[in-house]
Amino acid sequence: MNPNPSRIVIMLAALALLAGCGPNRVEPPSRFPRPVMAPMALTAALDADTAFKTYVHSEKLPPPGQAWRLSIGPASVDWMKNLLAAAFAGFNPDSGTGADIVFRPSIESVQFSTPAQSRTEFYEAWIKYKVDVLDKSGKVVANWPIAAYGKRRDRALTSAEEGMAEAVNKAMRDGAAGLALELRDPKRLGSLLYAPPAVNQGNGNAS
Amino acid sequence: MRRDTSVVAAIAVLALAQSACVSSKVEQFREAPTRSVQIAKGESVVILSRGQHGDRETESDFNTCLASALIKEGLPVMAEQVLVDALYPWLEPRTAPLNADALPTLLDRPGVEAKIRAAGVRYMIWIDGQSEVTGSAGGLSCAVGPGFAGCFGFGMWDKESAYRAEVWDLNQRSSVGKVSTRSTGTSYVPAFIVPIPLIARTQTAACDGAAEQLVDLVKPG
Repeated sequence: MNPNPSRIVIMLAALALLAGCGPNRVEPPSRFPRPVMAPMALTAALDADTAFKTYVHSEKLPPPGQAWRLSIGPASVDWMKNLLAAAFAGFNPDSGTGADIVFRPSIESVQFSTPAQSRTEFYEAWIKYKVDVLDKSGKVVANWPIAAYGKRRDRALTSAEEGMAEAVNKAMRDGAAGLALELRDPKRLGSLLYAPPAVNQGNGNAS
Repeated sequence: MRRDTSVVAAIAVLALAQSACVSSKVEQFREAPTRSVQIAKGESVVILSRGQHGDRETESDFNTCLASALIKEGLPVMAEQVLVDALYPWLEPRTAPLNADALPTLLDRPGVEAKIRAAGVRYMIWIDGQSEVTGSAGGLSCAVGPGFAGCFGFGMWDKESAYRAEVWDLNQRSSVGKVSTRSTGTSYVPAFIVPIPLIARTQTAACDGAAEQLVDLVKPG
């Protein structure tokens, strides 16, 4: 049985149409440069739960917009591991037990816009992270909101997915810069972790 | 018929070679009256874009044009992304210094100055600005039919390219000077069957003007 060329063409066209029906899938690059930081003499751990690690933002834009599926979790885990490994002398990426300081990140919201939506030349992405900082005993000593933003100019001969992936990647780099600024002062971090116990003024017994 | 085709092709080629008029204004400001600097052997400059503005960003092709022009004049130029990655995350829009007064804060971060020295970068050139269409008028319509295709009408638009370059000396931790350039022009596309674009290349003019002044400010070794 010889394949009918016209049938093959019709099948390929149908497949192409079906492929066009799915959402725009964005997998931002997970590679980040090695941060330039002096490691603090503390051990740190990243306590990222499954919701964070697998966070996906799905959104259907109003017509004539398309559906989008942005995979945010995996690359977010990567930038945090990359940054914390450079910021601390000891870093355990998988377990919080025994570390001086534990970072528990979460993603509060993700937003994006396309050039067609914003009537600009840019793909834009916003990621609102929250990082809880825990001491050795598991007590939350700080929580840092990090609003990360990235944009990329729309270019000829690149797909919408590529444009958005780069905007999301820039947002993640911005998030890393935000966390690096929080970590830039070892004294401040030390005072969070090893704050002297509060003196109870009302119960003082003078001797 | 063949002759007609070649005439149309010749007109089209001629039109593509034409460009509309552009007027440019370039200004150079030096921090000291006699201060122009010379780049030494093994040193280079890096052209960086300001990314702090949410609604605008310098086009990468402007930076590419500027880098090519500076290289042509003998100034070694390091690729922007190479330095941004080497100093990650301290040259991201959130952390990059906004003016020369903030330069010591960057250079005093652990490991930053050593990375810059290893890369051989002596001067940072910060670019801010963009090209934009400021107005348009007219219209064109094109049609294709059996045995016929053509465009009719007249379109025009004004474009402005405004950029500012600030040069910082990383050894002296200070500003060397600034260059600002503003080019404006109107592009026309008359079309009678064949559209004849007369494009005002404002961005190229701004790039050429900025490059000329930057080479005057940072002299090739």
